[in-house]
Amino acid sequence: MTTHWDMGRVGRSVAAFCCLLIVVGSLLSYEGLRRSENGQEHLYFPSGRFLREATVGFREAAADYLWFRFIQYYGAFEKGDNDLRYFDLLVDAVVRLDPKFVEAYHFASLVAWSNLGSFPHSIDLLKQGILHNPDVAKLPFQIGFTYYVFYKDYPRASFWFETAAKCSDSTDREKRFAAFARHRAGDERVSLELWKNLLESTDNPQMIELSTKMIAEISAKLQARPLVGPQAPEVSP
Amino acid sequence: MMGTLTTLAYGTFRETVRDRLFYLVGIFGFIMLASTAVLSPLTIGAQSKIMVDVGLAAMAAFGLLVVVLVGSNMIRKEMDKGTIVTILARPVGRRQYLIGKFLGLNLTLACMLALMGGLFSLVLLVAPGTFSPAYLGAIYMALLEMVVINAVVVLFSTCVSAPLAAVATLGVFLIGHLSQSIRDFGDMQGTPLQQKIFAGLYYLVPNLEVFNIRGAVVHGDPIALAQFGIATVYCLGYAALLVILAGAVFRGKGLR
Repeated sequence: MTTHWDMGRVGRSVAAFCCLLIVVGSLLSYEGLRRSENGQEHLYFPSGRFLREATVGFREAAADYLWFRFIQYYGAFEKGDNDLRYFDLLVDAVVRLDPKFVEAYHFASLVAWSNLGSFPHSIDLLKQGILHNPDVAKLPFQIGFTYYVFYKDYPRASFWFETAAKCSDSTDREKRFAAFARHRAGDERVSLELWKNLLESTDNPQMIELSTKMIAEISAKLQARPLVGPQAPEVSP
Repeated sequence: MMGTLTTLAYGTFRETVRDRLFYLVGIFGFIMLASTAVLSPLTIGAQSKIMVDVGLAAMAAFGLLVVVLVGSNMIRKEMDKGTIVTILARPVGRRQYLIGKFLGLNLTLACMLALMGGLFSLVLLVAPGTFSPAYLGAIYMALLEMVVINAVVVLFSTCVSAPLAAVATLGVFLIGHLSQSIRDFGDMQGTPLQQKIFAGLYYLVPNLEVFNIRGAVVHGDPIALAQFGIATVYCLGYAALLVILAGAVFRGKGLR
């Protein structure tokens, strides 16, 4: 039995295989080149202002795409592939395209303090978000949390927690933190009112228990003190 | 007259169905499922926003694709093949022919958007807490926008070649979304004459941002009912104006 070889077909198969090798080889070389650049970032990125005009009619979808890019960029930073030098550029582009993208402000503020170590930058990002989303509790709450936990600035923290508690999507959490922060700031009369307010508005049994306990505790403290107690100073946000 | 228009419109609709245009609906479904299953876990807390953004943007983009690719070729193809002469040899006016074609493509668009809207709603209903009736308003506005673009492409296809009509229509789409910038630019000009020229240009080009409520509905912002009314009237007025203009151009055109 003889095997009949179609030389044309064999030639085409070999050629296709060679092309495949060239493609894979080129990609491998490219990856090697990128690795050898070692920390040198190459990210061409137009400004948010330009992108806003250039993405006619599809701004939100473009913001979503950039959001993915930002997450990938942050992931690469976590792996040690970059130093977040384009952080501001990317965040600016995302929020210029979609100024109501609350998650972008929130996540970027977390990155600003946790990875870049800049609390003022983190707060600035959140304030920028509040300008475009004044009725979203998450953003002022995060500012209050930063002042409360990191700066231990309880008067400022209580200001932002109270701002968060006034938002239409606020929950018991914002009210509870506002009351706690006022208490910590030494403004027990206002704290007492906030706990009473929480008690009136909540259905959560744990919150009812906590606020009842706090009201009793603060009331007892105030009764033992003269009528005019220490007040927390007025703060600017 | 209505009978002739209906026949022409239905004929155009059947032609697009024969061209397997509705395969795009399948691609849309795939994009929606992909954005739900693949992209959502990567979005860090913005799942529903991204799903809705992708869905609404894909609908608008596919609509634009259909209008530009089909619309630019629709009349030119029949002119080049000579089949237009057969149609116009019957008691069908040139204007009627144009309106019929225009309505036929609008019917195709309406069906496509309805199908894509149905798929979109279905995917959102499966993912609890993400569906809002306001999204249907955004789909309706996308249809109005496509009707205006359809009128633009009909006008261009009567006077220039198909590729040029497609490019010019895309250009009008871009300008239509940047028309506010034209006005702002005009306000920055020194002389009143320049300001008037730019203001005139602003009113001349279609303002497609009138129909863009995608961002607002995604973020749950309220949309006044009046906006739908104004957008509908604007769309009908602008489209009618362009079709009348296209009819005037087409009447004077020599056909082989």
